[in-house]
Amino acid sequence: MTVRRAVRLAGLLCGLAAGVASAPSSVTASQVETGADAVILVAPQARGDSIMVSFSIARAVTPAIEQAIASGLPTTFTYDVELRRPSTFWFDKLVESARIAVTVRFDPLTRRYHVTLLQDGRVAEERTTDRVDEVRRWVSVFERLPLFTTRELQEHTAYDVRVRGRTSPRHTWSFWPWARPSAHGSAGFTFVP
Amino acid sequence: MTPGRLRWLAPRRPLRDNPVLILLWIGLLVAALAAMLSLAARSSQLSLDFLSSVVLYAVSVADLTLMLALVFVLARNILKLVVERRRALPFARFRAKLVAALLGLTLIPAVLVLLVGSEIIRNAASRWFSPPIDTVISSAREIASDYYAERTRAVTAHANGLARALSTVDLASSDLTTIRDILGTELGQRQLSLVEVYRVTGRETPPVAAVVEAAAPSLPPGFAPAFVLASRTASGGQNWSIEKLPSGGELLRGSAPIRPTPDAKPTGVVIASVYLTDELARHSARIVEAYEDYTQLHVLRQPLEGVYLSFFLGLTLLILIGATWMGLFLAKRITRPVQRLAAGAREIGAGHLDHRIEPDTHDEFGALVEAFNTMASELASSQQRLDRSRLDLERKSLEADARRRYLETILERIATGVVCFDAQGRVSVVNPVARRLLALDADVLGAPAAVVFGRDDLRPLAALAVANGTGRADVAAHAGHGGVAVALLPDTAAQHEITLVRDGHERHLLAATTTLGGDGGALESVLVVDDVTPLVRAQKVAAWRDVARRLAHEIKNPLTPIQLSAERLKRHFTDAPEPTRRLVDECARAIVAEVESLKSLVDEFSQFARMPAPKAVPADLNALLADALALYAGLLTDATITLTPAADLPLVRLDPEQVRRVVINLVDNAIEALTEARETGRMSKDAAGVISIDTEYHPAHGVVRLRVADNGPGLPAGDRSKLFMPYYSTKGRGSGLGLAIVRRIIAEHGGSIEAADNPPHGTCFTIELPV
Repeated sequence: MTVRRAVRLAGLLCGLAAGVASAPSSVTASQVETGADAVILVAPQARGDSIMVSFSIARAVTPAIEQAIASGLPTTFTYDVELRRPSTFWFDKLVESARIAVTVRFDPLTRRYHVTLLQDGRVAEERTTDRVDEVRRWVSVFERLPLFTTRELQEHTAYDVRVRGRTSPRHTWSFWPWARPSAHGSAGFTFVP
Repeated sequence: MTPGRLRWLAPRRPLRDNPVLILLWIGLLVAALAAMLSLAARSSQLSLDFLSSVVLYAVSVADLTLMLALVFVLARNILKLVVERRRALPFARFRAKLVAALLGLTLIPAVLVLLVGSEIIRNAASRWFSPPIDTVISSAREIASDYYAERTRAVTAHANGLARALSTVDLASSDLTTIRDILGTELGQRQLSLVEVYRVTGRETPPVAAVVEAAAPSLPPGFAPAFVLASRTASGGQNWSIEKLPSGGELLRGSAPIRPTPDAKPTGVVIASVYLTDELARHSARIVEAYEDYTQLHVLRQPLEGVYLSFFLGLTLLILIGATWMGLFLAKRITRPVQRLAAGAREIGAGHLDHRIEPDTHDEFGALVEAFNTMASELASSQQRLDRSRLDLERKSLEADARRRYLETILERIATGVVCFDAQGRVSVVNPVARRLLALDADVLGAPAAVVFGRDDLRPLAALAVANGTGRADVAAHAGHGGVAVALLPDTAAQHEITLVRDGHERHLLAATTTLGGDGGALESVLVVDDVTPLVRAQKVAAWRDVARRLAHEIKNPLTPIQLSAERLKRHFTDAPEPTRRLVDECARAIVAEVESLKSLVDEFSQFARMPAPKAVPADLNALLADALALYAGLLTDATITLTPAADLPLVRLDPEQVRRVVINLVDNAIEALTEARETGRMSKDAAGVISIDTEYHPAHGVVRLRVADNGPGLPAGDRSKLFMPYYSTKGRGSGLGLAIVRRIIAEHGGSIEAADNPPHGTCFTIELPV
């Protein structure tokens, strides 16, 4: 066996091991990824022609973020939601994706928070409040967002909904300019019409 | 293919040789540096958010790119330098040292500046914030905020009061007098700047409609109806807002729904507004702006520090890349001409004298390259001259060799023996014929003439030599070797006939010496020796033939009268008395018998004298021998004849009858020799006589050799030279012409015959016939 063949075989075995490790162990049960900075709880649900996605993060507004918001700095909480079909021997297939962005702008003069919700770049909702607890809830709890349609889904097939969250602007600095997501979460479900 | 395409197919010009590209790269570096400096200068005018996100991202990406570029440039050139050093390319160490020195000279101060600058930035950033400033800015913002909150509460309270006052008024009525009265009264009492009343219309958009408004005279114009606030208030939402006026200042609005009863749906909305002067609004805005800047600076301190650190890092990387590139550029600019000179010198050393170096520059290196090219040109022309001279010498040498080979060939092939002597009297050339005629060994070359001609058998030849001036001392020195002082006489061309005796054979030589002129009085001599033995023999045979012819003529003529006279006497005395008649008869018979004998002798002489020329035809010698020897089959009792023919014997051009006569003559001689030896007791009567005949082919000499040998008593050594002479016989009877005729026949065939001993005893005749 040549060295090149051995390397190819080792790569294939590693790919198989990674695929097995990334395969969903069960369906319809909410899953939580560990090892990330923060945890996002994800709960997908098929309802009619839509996939309703609910997700929440326990500590979206950290004291540093709260301080940044209080300084009047527009702070955006961005969540990338992906609907993927798991694959055992290859990368999971991306079926659909959506981006939810919540921008919080605090007016120090009137002490009110202006919250803007954007879905895929379109303004979906604007709110104003003077209560910070409401702001925390608005940026961290999302209920039944109709993010995906069921047209592309196959019946009785397992899917994953993955959510990655990050905030901007960054309050820390590192030489590496690209920030990795600060929160992760995913949940699998089996599509049954 | 067009020239344009050909231009693209041409080898890419290196960067270092392309001034346009060099200027372009320098321009790019300078532009990047200027952009970074400009961005750093304008950083105070950019928003902190923009700085900490876009600018930081861009600068970080630029830093990473520069770092990768630097690593790539360094890795590539380090790898090249390592490879060049391993290949032991010239100036690899020098280039490595030069690049390392330039890089080190730049790297150390650049890193120091980076470290010091970073520390300065960190210290400066820490000085941006201090507790007193925190307190002042926060307090100012609190005051401004509290003021706005208080005014908002107040105007909202006024709006609520007006809403209660208007709760009983039908807003849909066309009579607005009551509403105007109430608003006018409240406007003055509550020091409001503007009061607006809106009616809820239901499903229309907007769901409210303006009913009436009352503005204080001090309110600047340009305010707009507050439909949005009215709508939100009607739906139970926002109940205040702040509106900036076009003419400056702000309008602080407070709203309240108008309900007929506390539990009823709103039928309208009343909005009370107070005017905040422009100065107050601007002060408040400044306070908020200062607060936001300060707190955001605090929040974004790390990213902002990162921006400035990235600027420094980017500048450092630009400097390092520039220094590295400049180092490599300078190293190549310095070493490349020297490398090319070294490579050119190697090419010249390898014999490629047409190698030239294209000058890159017109500086000192260019002059050096020009000098190198001039030197190469001169070397090439010198080499060409040398080549021409060498070719001329080679041609002359070849000609001399050809002449020498020609002379050697002549000397090898000619039938004349040649011996050359140098100026010192030493033998310089001996051709094969001379070696054979004089029985000289090959090692006589270089031997003094005194030694060579001092040999006993060559003493007659030594007599030719006389001492001359040049070789006298040498001759005298070697005189003891052969007892003869030999030197060749200058300017001598005398010929002398000399007879040498070797192995019982006489060899007649005609020797002549010639002196050749030499430089400085040194003389070279040539001894030419011709073998005239066949000529002498032919002369002798011719003389004998003439004698034989004369004898035959002179003797044969009186024989017949003698014979007739004897017979006449015999007849005359037929009637004489018996004693007389018997005496006459005996005498007559004796005379007639002797006359017959003399006739027979005369016939042999005549035959010897008139022997015809051989009629040579290709013949098989072995078959001829077998045919001739068949005559002796069964006739011999005391001797045996053996024939050993050669298997590869070619056909020989000969006269079969004459050669058969030769063979029979030799065999008869052998038989007679054996018989006589037995009769005389020189050979035991019981000893078996053996006559051996064999043939042999010698391709190298182009001859066929025939040997006839017997084991008889042999010939005395002194008689061998006379053996083939006419009238010489060892038998005591016969004419003595047999072997003379044999030799003549063989000579007429172009061959030779020699007689020699046949060890241990006997005689061997060897005949050589050309093929």
